Amino acid sequence: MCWTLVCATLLLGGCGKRESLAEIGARTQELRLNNESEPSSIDPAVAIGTIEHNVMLALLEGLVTADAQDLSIQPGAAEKWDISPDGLIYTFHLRKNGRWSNGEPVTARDFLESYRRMLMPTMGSQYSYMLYPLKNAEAFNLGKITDFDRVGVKALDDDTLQLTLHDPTPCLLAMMIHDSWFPVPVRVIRKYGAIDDRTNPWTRPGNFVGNGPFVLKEWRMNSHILVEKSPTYWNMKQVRLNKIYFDPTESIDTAERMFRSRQLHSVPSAPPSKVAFYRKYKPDLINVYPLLATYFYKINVTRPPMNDKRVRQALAMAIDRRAITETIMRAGEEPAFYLTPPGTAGYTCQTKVKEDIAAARQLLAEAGYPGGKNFPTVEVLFNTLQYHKAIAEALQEMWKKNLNINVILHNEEWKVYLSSMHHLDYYMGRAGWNGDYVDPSTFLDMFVTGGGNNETGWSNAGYDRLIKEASNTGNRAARYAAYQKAERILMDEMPIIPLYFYTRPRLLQPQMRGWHPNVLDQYDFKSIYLVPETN
Amino acid sequence: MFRFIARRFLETIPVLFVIATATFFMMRLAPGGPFDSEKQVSPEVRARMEAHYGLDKPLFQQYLLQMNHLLHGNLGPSFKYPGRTVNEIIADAFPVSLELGGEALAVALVLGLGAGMIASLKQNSAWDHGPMGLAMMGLCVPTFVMGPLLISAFALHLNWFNAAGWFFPRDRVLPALTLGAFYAAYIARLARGGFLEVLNQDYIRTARAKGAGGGRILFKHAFRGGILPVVSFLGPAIAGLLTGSFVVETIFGIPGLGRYFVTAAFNRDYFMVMGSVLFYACFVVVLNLAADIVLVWLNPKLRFE
Amino acid sequence: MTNPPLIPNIEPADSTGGVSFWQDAWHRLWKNKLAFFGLVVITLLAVMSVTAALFPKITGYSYEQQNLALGPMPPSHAHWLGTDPLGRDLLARLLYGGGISLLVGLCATGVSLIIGVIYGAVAGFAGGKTDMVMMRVVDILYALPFAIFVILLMVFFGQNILLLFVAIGAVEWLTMARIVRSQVMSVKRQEFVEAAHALGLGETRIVFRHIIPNLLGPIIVFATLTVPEVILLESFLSFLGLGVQPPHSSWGVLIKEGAEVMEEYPWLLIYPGAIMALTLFSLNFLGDGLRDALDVRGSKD
Repeated sequence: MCWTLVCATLLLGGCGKRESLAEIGARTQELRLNNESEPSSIDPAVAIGTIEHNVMLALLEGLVTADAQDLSIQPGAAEKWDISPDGLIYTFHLRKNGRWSNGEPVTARDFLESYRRMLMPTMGSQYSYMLYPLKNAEAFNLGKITDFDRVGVKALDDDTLQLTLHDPTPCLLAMMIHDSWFPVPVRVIRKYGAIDDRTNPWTRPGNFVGNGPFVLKEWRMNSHILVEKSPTYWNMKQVRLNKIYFDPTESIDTAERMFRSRQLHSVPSAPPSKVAFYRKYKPDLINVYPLLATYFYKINVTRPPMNDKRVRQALAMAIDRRAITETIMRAGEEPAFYLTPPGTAGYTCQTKVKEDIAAARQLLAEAGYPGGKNFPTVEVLFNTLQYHKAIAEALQEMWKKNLNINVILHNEEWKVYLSSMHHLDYYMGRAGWNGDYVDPSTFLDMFVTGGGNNETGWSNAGYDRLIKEASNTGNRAARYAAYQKAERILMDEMPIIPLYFYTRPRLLQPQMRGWHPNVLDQYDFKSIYLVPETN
Repeated sequence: MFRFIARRFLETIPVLFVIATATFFMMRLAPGGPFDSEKQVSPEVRARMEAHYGLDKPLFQQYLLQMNHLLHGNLGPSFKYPGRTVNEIIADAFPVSLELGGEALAVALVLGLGAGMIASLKQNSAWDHGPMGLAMMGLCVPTFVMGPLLISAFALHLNWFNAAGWFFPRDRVLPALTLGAFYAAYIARLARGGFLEVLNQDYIRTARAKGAGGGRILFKHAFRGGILPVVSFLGPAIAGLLTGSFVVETIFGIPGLGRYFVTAAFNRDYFMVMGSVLFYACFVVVLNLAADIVLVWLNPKLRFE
Repeated sequence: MTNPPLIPNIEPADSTGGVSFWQDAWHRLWKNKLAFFGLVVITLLAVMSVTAALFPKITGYSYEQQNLALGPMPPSHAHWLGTDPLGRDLLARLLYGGGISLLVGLCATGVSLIIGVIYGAVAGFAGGKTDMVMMRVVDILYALPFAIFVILLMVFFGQNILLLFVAIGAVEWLTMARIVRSQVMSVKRQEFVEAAHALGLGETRIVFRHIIPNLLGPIIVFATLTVPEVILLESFLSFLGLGVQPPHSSWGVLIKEGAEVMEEYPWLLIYPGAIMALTLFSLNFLGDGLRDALDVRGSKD
């Protein structure tokens, strides 16, 4: 019995070198990507994350696309567009050769119907707010008006789409690379059920129709999604990949092992403990680049002692951000002294938090807690993840050493954590924010009074006024000036403690070419291709 | 026999009912809901979504609706994966777990029974301590350590296997070993205990006196008795094996059912949790019944209980 | 499958120095080298952990003291077992964690013991309808997938160590109850119980003075074997992020953290893994030895 086991293992072990899946893929132009999780849906009106976005990028194409290198706006389903002098009317001229994967032409009406569906109150789309720059879109979405003709979308003819905004929104084109602006084949969706039914099965392989460079071939839950080059795509000539294989492995340790065992061409995030190793010993396999995302702590300003600005400032000043990024994270993250990542569409905040322990102690004393005496024990809330815990532990230690105050760590399970943050049931809580599009508004809009993602209880009329001012003007200089002032208020009042800006430590096989890092971590599947390794 | 089975099935119905009720209320009363996410949705949108799934109705009414659905075998939609029903998800994932569990069970039985039986024959010798010591490794090394160790050695260094995935026949080997190791250890110990007890009986002494050798004694005479504790244990253990092991599925990237147990609870995917719990419960009940039947068949003395 | 009934512990009328059952059991245990080794190891570990818990700075470092500048270092003169990514001394965390793990093991086992024994004894002794209902309840609880149940418990009541004991104990008592019940049922039928009945002894007295002492054997064995299971369960909970919370450590936490970095910093897995394996080994061998020692028929004579 023992012998048969041994022989079986040896046989299964195989003799000699097998061709790895990555090598096979390089030969057949099949890109194998780790996509970090099983997508919840590939319907733009239902999907909510970057994971879903990555798949939709292959299957659908919006009016505009982003250049992979600098995220500059390129023509997509629209070949050109005109913007009225007052910045309120955008006229898009669609390509005449744009086709859905079932052969039908892509028309302006398709876009109109898609936006209408996105804004239908009964659809319950979580990203409908991305379309609010359109005139009356918000009113329609909230059910205040029921006639979609009053919303600023018109199909002038089959190939001309006209959008009317209620404010000049200079970042509109940047917003349009988000999947909420993608078209969907509403006629096709209608065949399978009500168009506002989120459980409509139109997204199944065999049913799905899209206008993107690839079509949906296979989708096995928690196993893989396979898409194949679309013969009806207008720019088929530029697409070099034949297939893309999306792997939904969630565990970054497993994904990294799969990368090492040559099953995948790229893994978006190497495990933090391995980043230093790759950077030192295998730098050609890893690419670390900044993301449009910030890691910070939210402070519940309604709860004493956090309601005192000086306490918040002291907490923000008495820590060493570089120690955290260099010893815990170690993936080249930049410490953050303000909220909006630097260089976001050319905007860099001029106000910085100063790390000054003496000044922090002074502030704490002024607030009534000299030397940390009588400072009540506060809690830091975070959700279960290894590095959140490590960062919280480090900060706990720093506050104890520098300010002599006691901070308890409280680890809550994800949904409980979300609920606590939402209901303001916390003192300090870990938070992160990914920009949806490249513009400072995606960060600074968060903290207006009563904003859904504010969750700090902070309210400042001056801040609100400046944000509104910035959204009312199309003049970039004026907008940015307003944002500078607003962020200065934010960094003075400190309802948040910025910690660092995210980076992506992406693992890439050398066979993968044509890919470029960008702050939205957006793929350009038209440009990526594979070459077999020469050795 | 038939009456016995029928009676057990009838007894199962209240059990399932209680489980369903307990699960329903536990999930609904837990803080956090299926639509809480890092980027908050507006209250209007949230209201729409809850209305769509009937979550805005009074709790008791939802409970009755759910019970009604369950009676018709309709496990409901998944929140996390709109467009998929729970029935579908389970039907898709279960065969994978079944295969993994079956293979792990095979590993466990072969290794465990083997070690246990040999150890029982040569109690307190090197043949006892050696295999039992090895078997203990399965009990003392958690799967989330065993898995990566095996992967590191056999997949990454020796390159005999893929590090993860469930596509090729050889992908089955490491996961089955990892999952089976724990059960092998348990079975080894139970088998050793069971066989030891039997081997000290008089009829074994008679067989030995008549000249029967070790193997013959083990397989022909002692087997039925020695295997009793293993069968008792196997009943509920198989349920756990077959419905998937969360850890092994996560480490090896296997699209099985085990993961849903944990992720559904974390996601507050109410119907998915209910579906998984009931599915698992049915399994345990059926397997317990099967184990009891096998036990009675093996040990006629129990027939009159 | 079930241990046979034992001669009841009635004091001999005359003290001729005969060997009592317990003395005999101890003697056999002592002869079983492996089991004895297990006992020694456990005692040593327990002592070390308790000392570490009472005198946190015994190694010169506390379990929570960080040294970010140092980072993870292999074993050296300053840190005998090395440090973790936050610069914390592994030896200190290992000792402290050992204390916590053993504590969790003992308390959870204790909880399951108390609930299980009482429940099982009552069910077994009462018999009939009561027994049937009680066992159905056990079936119901058995049929709940452990993972979901514990997650819900932890979510409901927050994450503190006491909850951990309760959650784990609440799962383990089921098997204990089953074992106790079947043991009680087989003991109940023995002649000496009938004799006690015939003598007119009350039910409570019968249960407590005659039946329960005869259960002690299997109970002790099972309890010894439950502790390692509890420790493993705690490590699984740590894998899910629900176990012992930072900055406390336990073996589960250390092993989980070590497994994640086992290729870069192998000492972070090797030492906690070895110690935990050693402990579990010892407990298991001790349990097996106790079972062999307490099983009259197992003696070879």
